[in-house]
Amino acid sequence: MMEFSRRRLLKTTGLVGTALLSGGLAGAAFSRIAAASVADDPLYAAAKKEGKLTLYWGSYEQQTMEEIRDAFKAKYPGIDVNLLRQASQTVYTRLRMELQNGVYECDSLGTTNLLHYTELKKVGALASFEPADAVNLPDAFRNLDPDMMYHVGAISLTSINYAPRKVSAPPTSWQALLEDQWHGKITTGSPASSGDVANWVVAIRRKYGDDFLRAFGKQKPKVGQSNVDTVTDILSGERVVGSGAPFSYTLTQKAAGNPIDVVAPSDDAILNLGVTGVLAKAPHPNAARLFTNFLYSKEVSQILQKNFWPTLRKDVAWAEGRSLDQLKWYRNTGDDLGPEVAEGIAKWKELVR
Amino acid sequence: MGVISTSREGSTPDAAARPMMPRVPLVKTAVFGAVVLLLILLVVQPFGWVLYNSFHDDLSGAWTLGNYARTFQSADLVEPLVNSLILAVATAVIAIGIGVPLAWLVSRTDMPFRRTIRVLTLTAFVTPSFIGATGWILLAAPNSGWLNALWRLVAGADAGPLLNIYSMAGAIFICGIYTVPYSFTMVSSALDEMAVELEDAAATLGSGTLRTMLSITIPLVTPAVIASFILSFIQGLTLFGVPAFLLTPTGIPVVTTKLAEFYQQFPPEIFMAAAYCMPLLLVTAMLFWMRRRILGRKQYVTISGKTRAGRQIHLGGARWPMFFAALLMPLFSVLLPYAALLLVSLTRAWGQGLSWENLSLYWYWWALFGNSETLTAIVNSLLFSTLGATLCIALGTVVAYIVERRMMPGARLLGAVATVPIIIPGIVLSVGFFAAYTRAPLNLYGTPMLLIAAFAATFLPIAYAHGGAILKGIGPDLERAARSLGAGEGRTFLSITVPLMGGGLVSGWFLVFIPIIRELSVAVFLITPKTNVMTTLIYNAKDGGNYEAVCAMSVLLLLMTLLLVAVARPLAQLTGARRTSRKAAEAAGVVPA
Amino acid sequence: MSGIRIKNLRKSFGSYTALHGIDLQVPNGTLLALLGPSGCGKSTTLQLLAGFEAPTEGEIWADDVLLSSSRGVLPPEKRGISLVFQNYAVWPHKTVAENVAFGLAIRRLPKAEIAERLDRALRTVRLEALRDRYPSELSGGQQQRVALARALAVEPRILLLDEPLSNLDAHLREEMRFEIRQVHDLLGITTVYVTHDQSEALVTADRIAVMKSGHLQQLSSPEEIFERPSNAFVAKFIGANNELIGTSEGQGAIRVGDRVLTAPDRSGAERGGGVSLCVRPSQVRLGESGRDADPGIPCNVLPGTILRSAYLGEYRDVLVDVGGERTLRAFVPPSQCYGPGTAVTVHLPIEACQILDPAA
Repeated sequence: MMEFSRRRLLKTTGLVGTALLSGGLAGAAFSRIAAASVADDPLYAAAKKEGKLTLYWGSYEQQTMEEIRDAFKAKYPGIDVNLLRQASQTVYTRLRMELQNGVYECDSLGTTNLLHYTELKKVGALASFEPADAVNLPDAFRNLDPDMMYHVGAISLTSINYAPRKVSAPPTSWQALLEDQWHGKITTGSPASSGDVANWVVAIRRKYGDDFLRAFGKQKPKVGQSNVDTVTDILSGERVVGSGAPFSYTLTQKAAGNPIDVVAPSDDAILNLGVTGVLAKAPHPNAARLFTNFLYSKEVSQILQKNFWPTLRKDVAWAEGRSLDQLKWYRNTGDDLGPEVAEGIAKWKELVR
Repeated sequence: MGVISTSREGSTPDAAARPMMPRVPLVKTAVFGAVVLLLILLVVQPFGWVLYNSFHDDLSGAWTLGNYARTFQSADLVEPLVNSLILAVATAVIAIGIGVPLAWLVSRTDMPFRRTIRVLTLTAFVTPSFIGATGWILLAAPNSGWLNALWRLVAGADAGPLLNIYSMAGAIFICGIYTVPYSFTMVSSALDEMAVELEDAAATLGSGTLRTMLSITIPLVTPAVIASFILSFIQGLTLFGVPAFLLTPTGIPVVTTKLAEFYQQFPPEIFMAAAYCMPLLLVTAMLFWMRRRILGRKQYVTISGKTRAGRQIHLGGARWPMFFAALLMPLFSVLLPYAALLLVSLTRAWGQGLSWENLSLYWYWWALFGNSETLTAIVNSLLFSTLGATLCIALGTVVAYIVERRMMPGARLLGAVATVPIIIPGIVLSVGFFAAYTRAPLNLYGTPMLLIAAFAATFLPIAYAHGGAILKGIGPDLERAARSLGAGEGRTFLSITVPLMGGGLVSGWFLVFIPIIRELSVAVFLITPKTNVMTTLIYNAKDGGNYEAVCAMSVLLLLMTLLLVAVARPLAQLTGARRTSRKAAEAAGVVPA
Repeated sequence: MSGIRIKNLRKSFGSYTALHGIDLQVPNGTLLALLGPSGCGKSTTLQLLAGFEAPTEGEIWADDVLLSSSRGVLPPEKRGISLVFQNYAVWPHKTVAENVAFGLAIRRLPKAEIAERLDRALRTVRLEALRDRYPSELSGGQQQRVALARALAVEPRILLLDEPLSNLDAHLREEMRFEIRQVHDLLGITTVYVTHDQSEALVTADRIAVMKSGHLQQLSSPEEIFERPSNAFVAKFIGANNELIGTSEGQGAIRVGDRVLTAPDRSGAERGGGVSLCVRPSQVRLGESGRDADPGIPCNVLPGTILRSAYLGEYRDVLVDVGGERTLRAFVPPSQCYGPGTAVTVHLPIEACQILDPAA
């Protein structure tokens, strides 16, 4: 029975094709309007029958992800959630190997690289599904894929962080980082290790060309791996200013009492979308759909708010009353970012280190 | 006696000889068959996949030699190879230069607090090198390092940094001190097993203590020294955490960080990474060939049944200076970095610095109870390491035995197979295991057996090398004596060889157990939410920038491993205690006191 | 004929041939000593007998059982052959009693029988008092006895001893020699005893096989070996010997320098072929120059000059220069005292001389 419905689902690309699914959607819509109990949701009923959900996620750090998982379990009892949280690229590489070996473990994939999904879509590894609650997303991020194969799962901002005890006037733009006073004071991640930094390199080259990278290299930045290392370097006192720094994570550390703060550069914070999709051969497709839809719930956005992440709903403000509208941001768009990323990394290696 | 063929004289030799051939090997064949099968499943298969992958194009999946062409032609890829070789050689030199004298001091002399030094050195062994590197970043980062801050107190605020851990020298230092435990353990167990008469002979010829050590003791443990040199060299080649933390910031690429890039970029170049490992295999194969050249001509059988408890060499006035010199190693590898990690782990928010208000056990509470993962990971780590080490040491010892005693044709090939895994960097091996263990006949995906098998296979070379070193020290006559008394090969192995290996096997078990518990890369693609281990969890926390949690979990990992070692060692010693009861012998007046 | 029979036994290790086709018989109940310098192949022969090596060619039989041929080897544990090793190979992790009882336990004998045979074996080598000691608490001689008791306890058909006394000090060695012979007389086990020490072989063996470079030189009784060595090598290896190298002057005559000496000839050399004249130092007599020392016995007589003389209590060991850079040793009564440089006449009794194939 399961096998049958799954096969049918695979055939229905681009459309919401099965009675089961439309039932789920109707249920979700109904719950929004009538605030009926989740117990009546047919998608939940189907998911509960599957009883399990396996998440391969690289978006959000362990703690936030665990809170989301726990909230899901609380709201939808009877579904056992296995969360594999590793770096986005690791998770993706593993998924690819599983697919090559005919192993189908993963239900929902969540990583920080859109390219993963264009690739998976190409090989038919994703299932189409329209999460009803996605209507609450900020308009700019809705309908990421016209075929509904993947959706926004996280919003991350790349910015500048600094040590407020040591820096009274932090650089307020990417250009300001090139001033002499920051020579030998900057820490950053590596585009070869960090998707966010790679994304930043692409954006900065689009804005200012390779001259920026050349001048940036002359500033002798300390290049770590992940952009999280900027926080570490600032907290330890090794460097005082971080470039390509994680906006949310810096605020989390600040809230924990650490002497660190963040600046949204006037020449645009670089926005990167975390993406999520349901696997075509997911062993628990309904649970995966239920989880995807859950991402756009108030519960999740409140968790994100608490952990200083941009929320996934227009009606839930960010922590400390921030919002997307308050800052200038830029997102790399384009159908084929792959070569541009590779070129950016190569230029970085040539000009920065 | 019925088994003996009873052909009469005058019958043809053919007829006479035939009946006695196929009688014995039933059990033997079964054991050999099992060993060969295990090696094929655990090692040949994953390595075969790595090799197979290396000849394929990442994008098209077609057969190609392009990956190899790129490895040797692109300057971008040659440079990391050169850097890795420098790092590996220097690491091995440090490991031998410190580990061997330290082993001698602890095993052979009357230096004070020998047991303490031994335990502390083992503690360094327990430390994953990426955690050691983290500790040393806190200590010796050029601007913020605490040791450098101290230096500025002395030399003035404007003084340049005393130490810069972000350098090749820094990476060599860290790789070196965290590899010393390998050479220390292997050489000290060889020294423990060595017959003391050989040293006495030199002493009676008027040779001084130092001279005896250099000209008799150390040469006699050459096999162990060379084995640990090679192991240390391989460590230097395959470590990921240390160069990633210390060399990436200065822009010095090495093979493992380059490999990580292959995996981290999009699309990942998994097949390219497989080809990129092969030069390491070549270099290491050359090392093994050199070892054969060096050891081949000499016979190193040092025990021939006359085992006596080793006699201590009296250092005289040098006792305390030697102790302080020996203390440097634990100071650098354990005390200082763990002090740093401990301090960070005890702060609520470590950027606040040290103050009473900031002191907190919160992160320990969080690590143990505040998240759902750590407790499971601790249990998993202990369970997988225990089972993996046991499987590994059992298989490695049997293979070493078959090879050492040349018990079957092609035995040396078995040895070569058992040596391969350690040369392949963990992340690439992880892919090989993934390919091999997620399909028939060994479909283990999602089960703990997957990690246990992968861990056992990864560290099989250590078990095999260690087993070989011990066996070289056990004269074959001790086994032949049992054979001539009617014991078959299996019985001889179990009732003579294994007990004689006794203490060595226990130290071998730890030599495997500890690297397993601290292994990170191999686990990367193999863990599942239910089979997560401590190292992957710690790395995740590091990935998430949660430094206090990293430090707290590192301290927990250390404590838990030490606890296990503390429980297991006395148990193990009970078995080996009886045979060298020198005290009783002295009391009986049999041996001169 | 029953006993050990070795037929055309050859053993090569790569390009090196350790044994070039040996034929040997050891009748049941006899003690054969395999005697020779190191590298002569005696240890290889023992390894082949014990079953640790496979022969390249040839066969080893025990009674009517084929133990080894180039086609197959009965494994050591099935041969009923016990081996005592040069280094004792006493297991350090087992007590004396555990060592000795090991072979009995392997045979799954009843407990009572094990105990009885253990006691008997320990008694045979006088180790009852030390049964619970570990080898590290024993002296070399005691360990040697443990090894012997362990080998004997299983009541083997054949006992092999590989240089069993070479690690002991001189005094103990002499004592153990007799002990081994005594045990053999007591138990009558067919024994092969490998040694490089001729006096050990003479004391213990019923028959001695002298080997050199992988060839068997002679297999005879100790008396025969000593008195009628088959060549100058055997003569030299067993007991003290003088060898004068020369050429054959026909049956019974040898030319040494410008002299022709006569002696019983067992060389089989043609006239002009290389031969040696061998004579034991104890048979050489010396007289003052110009006087016959011992008329009545036909002797070869040579003039000589004393080079040195050593007093050994029961006799004097005298080295005499007989010209042409040749020397002879003579053991003479202590009363015959010559200073170096004294001219003497050397008498070599013809019946005590033998013309043999040379040693080289």
